[in-house]
Amino acid sequence: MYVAVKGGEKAVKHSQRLVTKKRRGDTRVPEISPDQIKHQLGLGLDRVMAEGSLYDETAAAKAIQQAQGDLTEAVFLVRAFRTTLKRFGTSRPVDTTEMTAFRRVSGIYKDIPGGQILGPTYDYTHRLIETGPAPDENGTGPDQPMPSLPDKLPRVMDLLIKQGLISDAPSALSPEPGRETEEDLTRQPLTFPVSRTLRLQALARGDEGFLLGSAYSLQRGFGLDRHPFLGELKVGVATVCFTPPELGFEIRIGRIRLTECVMVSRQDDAHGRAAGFDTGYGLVFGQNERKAMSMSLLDRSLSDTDKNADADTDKAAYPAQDPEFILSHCDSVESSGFVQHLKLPHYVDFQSELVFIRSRGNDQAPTKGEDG
Amino acid sequence: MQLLAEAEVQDLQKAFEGLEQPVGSTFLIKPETGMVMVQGKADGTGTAFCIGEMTVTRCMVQVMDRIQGYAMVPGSDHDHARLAALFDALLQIPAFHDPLMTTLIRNLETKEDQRRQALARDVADTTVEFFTLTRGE
Repeated sequence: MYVAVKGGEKAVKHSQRLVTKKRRGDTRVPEISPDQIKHQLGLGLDRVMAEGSLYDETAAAKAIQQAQGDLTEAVFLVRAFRTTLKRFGTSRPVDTTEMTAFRRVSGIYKDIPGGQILGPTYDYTHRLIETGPAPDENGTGPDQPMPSLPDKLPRVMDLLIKQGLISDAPSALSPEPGRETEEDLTRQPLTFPVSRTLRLQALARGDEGFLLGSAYSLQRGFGLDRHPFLGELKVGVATVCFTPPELGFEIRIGRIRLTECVMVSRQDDAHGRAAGFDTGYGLVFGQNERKAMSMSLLDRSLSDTDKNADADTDKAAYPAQDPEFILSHCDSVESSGFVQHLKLPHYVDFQSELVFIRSRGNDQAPTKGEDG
Repeated sequence: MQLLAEAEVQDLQKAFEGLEQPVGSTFLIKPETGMVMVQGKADGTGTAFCIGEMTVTRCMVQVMDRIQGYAMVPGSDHDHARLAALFDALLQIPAFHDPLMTTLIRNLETKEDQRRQALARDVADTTVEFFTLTRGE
């Protein structure tokens, strides 16, 4: 017998009201504004924009506030927001070689042309919670000759290519480098085998925690038998160019923060290839170094599907080498939705489980409250 | 156009209020918020792929019944798009072009220069200078 049950509207309404009250917290404490989040919680904002797959600082800041700082929930809000907007078109692929970098480091060349620019990073902080008032950073130092901004830093990848060290520069093989692509995960389902274009998009909007854990598994021996190296990590501002159809010519519509990463790892001469370095690439919205690095490690491991496949089963040996495993599970909105749907009523499904167990001979007398 | 697109809306509003004569305009495209899909290139130079979208607002106005101005600005501020489109139109009219170039545009350029210089100074201070210690001898 199936009995539809209705109810709980009042409780839901009150719960919504209560979460609003809880979010506001103690009213004696001043309320924060999206502007404060935008300017003072910038890295959280960047993460929400990257995983929300929408570069919109105001929307991300509002989402973080509305989600009480729960970044995954904020990502969900941003994703929902983007579905309400019309798409005007597709930009010209941004040129990261022209981007104005405010941070650029390389783990393989000390004297990299343009220098190692540390920029703003927590890497060299003591990781101690600061007590006392924050130091005043507004004072400027003595007048010095004005340095120029690093606009066109030479790329480490080019240095490696010039020296013939890249064993298979994947992009060099592509038929039309730099042209816009029609492939877009938001307009087509993810099917396997998957192109690198879709793989990079899935990784760029994937959950940072999942990508980080997966990349870590590679490094710990579940997929990488060799130490990877950071070829280059660059954080900067790039210009987005777009040709509005109603205008007919290209205009610059704004600048966005991006993090770009190139990882290299040694590839011995096998499989008919010369010895050299394999590369992996990461590019994400905002300053998201952990994620860009994880993305490039995974881009590499997922591109080697054939090489990594087990001869008998034709399956990747490790999870982080399996495109289907990584790309189908890296989206935070999808994964949190599916895990959290378990909170919804499953009374009838569960009832069927009870019926099954009882049918197997375990038919103790029903106890009170079981049939609800 | 980039300067207008990246300007702070207060600066545009102030310049609008400072215009010597009031300018009437009609919308050809009312301010409308949408998205542009931003693409990157694999390995920085290779095949294109989608990174994610960015929110933009577009607007097209007509002033004096003939001059058209267009703007597409980042974010969802309708006033910003409207004012940027209006100034795009006015800058095409000789009577407005020169005064605007010396006031609004110069102001925006100065602000942009200051931003770049501040960033350049901050960044330059964090560039690593390696030195080698000589040992032995």
